[in-house]
Amino acid sequence: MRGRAWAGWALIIAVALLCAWQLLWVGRHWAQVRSVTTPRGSTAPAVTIPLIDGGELRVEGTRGAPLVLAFWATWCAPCRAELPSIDRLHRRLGPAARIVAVNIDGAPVDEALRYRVRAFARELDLTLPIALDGGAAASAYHVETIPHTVVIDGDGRVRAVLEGVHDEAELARAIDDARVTPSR
Amino acid sequence: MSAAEEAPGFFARVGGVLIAPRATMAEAARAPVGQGTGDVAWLVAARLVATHAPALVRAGLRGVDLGPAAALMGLFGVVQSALPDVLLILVGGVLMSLFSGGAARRAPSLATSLDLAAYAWIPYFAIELLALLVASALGHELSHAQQVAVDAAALLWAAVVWGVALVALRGRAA
Repeated sequence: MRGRAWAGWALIIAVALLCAWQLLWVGRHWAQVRSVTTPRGSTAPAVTIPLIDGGELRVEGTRGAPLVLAFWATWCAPCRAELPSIDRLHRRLGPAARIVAVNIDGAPVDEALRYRVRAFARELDLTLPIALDGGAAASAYHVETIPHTVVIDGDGRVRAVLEGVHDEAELARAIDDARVTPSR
Repeated sequence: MSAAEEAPGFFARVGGVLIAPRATMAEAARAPVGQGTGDVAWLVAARLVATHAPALVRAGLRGVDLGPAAALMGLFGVVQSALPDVLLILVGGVLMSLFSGGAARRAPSLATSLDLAAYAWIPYFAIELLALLVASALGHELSHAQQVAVDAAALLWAAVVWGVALVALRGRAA
């Protein structure tokens, strides 16, 4: 019986060793582990994303109205639920805020993807600009789950990161905050 | 030797599956219902912590930065990775119950079959754990071919122990 217990102990010690190893890795790579989201108040990562109707969206030292990046995908049911309210906000605010729906269906950003995204936008009657991200923007903004919305103020600083589905009022409040409060 | 001394503890039960499967499974077939799944639930949880510590830490940090919903989503992603193990145990338990002799032979309950199938998962766990430890010590990830070989060895050992458990269960039922 004692010999059997030793085998059990060996198994648990192996688990503990592996756990310690992993925690050591976390300690050594803390900066990488810590960067779970774009920190509020930090400069918005500079990215350039092609727009579906031509041209491109440049996020770099944005000046003027707040910029909202709403990351989504055609296969994402919560995104389908949230996008109409984001679009209503886009229509309501007009030039007071630039709201862009950033599709992250993935690379390659080709005609097939454009066709799929256009069909999706038609189905939901979306009027807001749509950008097609091949992965670089999603990576720069630490997008791990969608919907994922980033609000950037006029100084080019991240003011809010919203994960999951948020209603029109919540997003409007975040945009108001980005417009009113000077960032530091 | 008293009855209390004879009853194997957690470590003896878990270790016994690896080094004395026949005796351990015979004891497990007579043990109180739920003991095997209880023991293995701890091992599955320990495995999740040991293999997904960075993801768990990130889930916690996401909770701090983005709220409890974000933390739960991260946690859900980690817990999801245990589903194949749970499924393996469930399927193993149901099959064991089917092959255990039938109601006419005072067939053991499905719960006991699940207990034994859970114990039969331990060799799979041990081999995968050993491979991960070796890979971590060597500082590189297993290649696809190496991973396939490890999986095959782990499943083969688990299948042999599952067979031993089935024999023990049929012996109890007879």
